[in-house]
Amino acid sequence: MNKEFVPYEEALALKELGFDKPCLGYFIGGQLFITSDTVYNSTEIRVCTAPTFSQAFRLFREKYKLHYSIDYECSQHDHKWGYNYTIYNYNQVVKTNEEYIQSNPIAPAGEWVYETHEEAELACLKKLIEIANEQQ
Amino acid sequence: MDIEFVPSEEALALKELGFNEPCFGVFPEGSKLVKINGEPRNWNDNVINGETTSTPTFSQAFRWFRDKHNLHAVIMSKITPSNTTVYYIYKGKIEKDWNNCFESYEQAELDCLRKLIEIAKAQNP
Repeated sequence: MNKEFVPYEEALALKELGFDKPCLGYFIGGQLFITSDTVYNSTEIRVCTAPTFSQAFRLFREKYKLHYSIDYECSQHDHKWGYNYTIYNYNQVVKTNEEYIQSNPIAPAGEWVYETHEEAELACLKKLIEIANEQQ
Repeated sequence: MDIEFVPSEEALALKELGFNEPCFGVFPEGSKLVKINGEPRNWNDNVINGETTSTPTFSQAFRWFRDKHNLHAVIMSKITPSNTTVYYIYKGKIEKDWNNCFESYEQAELDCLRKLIEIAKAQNP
């Protein structure tokens, strides 16, 4: 079940980016504790809530207008399936003039980077944090 | 936080499909969602828990479809003048390309879950 929660380092970064929703868990110095939905972020430096990945991605959609997809793709070389991510930055978009970031921008269509959905999800989250930090 | 959890109807459908994992949420029979403190539990084991239903998060439900049914959902915010969200479901190939457009990610997520349930039921009648 711990797969549901973002890792400690990303949870701290989300706190700095203004994440303030109630969570099912919290971290103290990197250790995860599960609780009810009444936990909010603290001003303590090493204490932070543990958002689920869904909550984290919702923050980026709603506060930073950064949207994502975890894409499932089939390699054209060996026909194995894997994952990429794409981030869409609506702040930069004027109608159909899209600006987006892909996990593997130089690869041919269909080539993927991540073997599991979870790997792609974490990589995508790290990139979203990086972009949001740049925006601030 | 309730937005993280699948609705009761879908939680029950997942139970009927064999979903049997520990969850942070539970629907006691005829009641509202209850979120639990501490370690997650499998509430679908009715021998112990009576008519309770484990209530997964959307992430957990989608992971279960990937792992158990090889059904992969991709939810995508589409950059169009209307800024809609769409989804696709793959099983080795694109399972079906529905004409689906939703105003919010959450609406697309719920509709996608319902479609996954429908496909899994059709594959395992």
